[in-house]
Amino acid sequence: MIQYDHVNVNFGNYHALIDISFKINKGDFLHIVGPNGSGKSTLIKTMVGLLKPSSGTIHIDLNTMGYLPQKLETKKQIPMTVKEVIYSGFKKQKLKPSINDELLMKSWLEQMEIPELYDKSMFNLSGGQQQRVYLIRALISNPEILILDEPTSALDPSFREKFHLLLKAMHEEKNMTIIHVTHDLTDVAKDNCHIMYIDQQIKFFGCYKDFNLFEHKEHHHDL
Amino acid sequence: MIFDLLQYDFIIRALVIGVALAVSASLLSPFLVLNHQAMIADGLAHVSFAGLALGMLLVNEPLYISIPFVMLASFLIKFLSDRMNGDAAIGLVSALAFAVGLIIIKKGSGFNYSIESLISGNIFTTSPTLMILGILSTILIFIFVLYFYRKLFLMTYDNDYAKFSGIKVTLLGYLLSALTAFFIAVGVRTIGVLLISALVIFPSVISSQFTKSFMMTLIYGTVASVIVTISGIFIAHPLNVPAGSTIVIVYSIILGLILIFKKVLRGEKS
Repeated sequence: MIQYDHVNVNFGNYHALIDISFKINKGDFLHIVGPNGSGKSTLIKTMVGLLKPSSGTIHIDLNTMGYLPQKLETKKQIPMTVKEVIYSGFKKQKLKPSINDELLMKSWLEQMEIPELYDKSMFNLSGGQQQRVYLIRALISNPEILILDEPTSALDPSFREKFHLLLKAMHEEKNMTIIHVTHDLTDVAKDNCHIMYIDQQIKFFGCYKDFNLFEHKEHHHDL
Repeated sequence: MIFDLLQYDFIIRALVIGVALAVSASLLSPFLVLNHQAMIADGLAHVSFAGLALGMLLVNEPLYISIPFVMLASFLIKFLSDRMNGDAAIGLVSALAFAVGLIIIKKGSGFNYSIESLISGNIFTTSPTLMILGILSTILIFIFVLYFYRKLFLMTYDNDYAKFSGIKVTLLGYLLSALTAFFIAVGVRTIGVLLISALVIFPSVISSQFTKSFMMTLIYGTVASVIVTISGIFIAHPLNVPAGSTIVIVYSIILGLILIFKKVLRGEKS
């Protein structure tokens, strides 16, 4: 459903991504890891259409995508409620949300353990609460694929475990394709998952078991 | 006394254009002010000064020149904003336009309008053409905001996500600019070059003091805007002062009172 062929992204003389080729199939659960500045977020931006590659082709065969960006818009003091933000994730939006849409939003808030925030101002929420609201915005249209750019960075540790269980459940029950950028693989679901290790180029792409071997080898090189 | 004033045609015309401009400005307000674009109204007002000067030189109804002129300038600002700091783009285009405007006034033969009338505007000498254009701008802006409300909201608070969601952000951005330009070009004739941006800025600033919701900010802003504009006109006429100035002063007093009231209320709580 997603295929990259020899994709390069350059910013001036700087090569952010070099010769990226890979394929993601329906139902895959992919963790993308790599050091800071390795091009993880750049790769995601090309995937969600915010950045055009300098060369190469990207084929994306999808109807709906859910996306949780890394940088959340918290700088602007915009008056807006949790309800308004979540509703902006719906595929079809009306001037006034229907009763069914309202019920759906409320049930998601309950699932994320923040039902009391429905009519609250986004501005008064903690970083972790805002993150959960943006996650609901990404999920509310029931996307075929969910793309998460370092989602746990702002989440409170108590919710992190629950969050990973939720991802696992959506992957297994809804066969949702999930692409998850992270710098920490400790808490995440690993069974049946693919790992991409990226540092401008793809250094590793395969299943988690093989990734362990790859990491060992890398460490030996370092020593 | 108010009913006495309503006998006069010019008062009725002032009220009609005043309410039309108040509604237009407050509908645009949250999408500009809350998106750090408040100064585009000010920049376009400067541009319309040049547009009007040029129009007065060339045709009978200067608005026919100034409206397309200001729209083109708004596209230029938008185009430059994508390539440099938005503030800088507004500053560049408005300064250039104002400079051209001043030269036209100085060198244009037979230029018999006072600069003061351009700068302060006059709501009580509203021509039928101006009134029609004012109402037209309100109708266009009303339809635009109503139809694209959810998209405009998403663009205002998260432009990247709007782009990701498939919203044509560039096209909508240019449309918003064009309608803002239309409103400013018309509004400058009645409220004046230096004050028209206040009509755009105040509604959202005031209404966001009361509400946490974006839609309510829009609605309260419109209500406040209409009330302030009507009272401004009724206060200005008997005192023989410009209506634009009166409206801005009424707005400022209201905002000042709200801020003091909120501070007192917060003080009592703590």
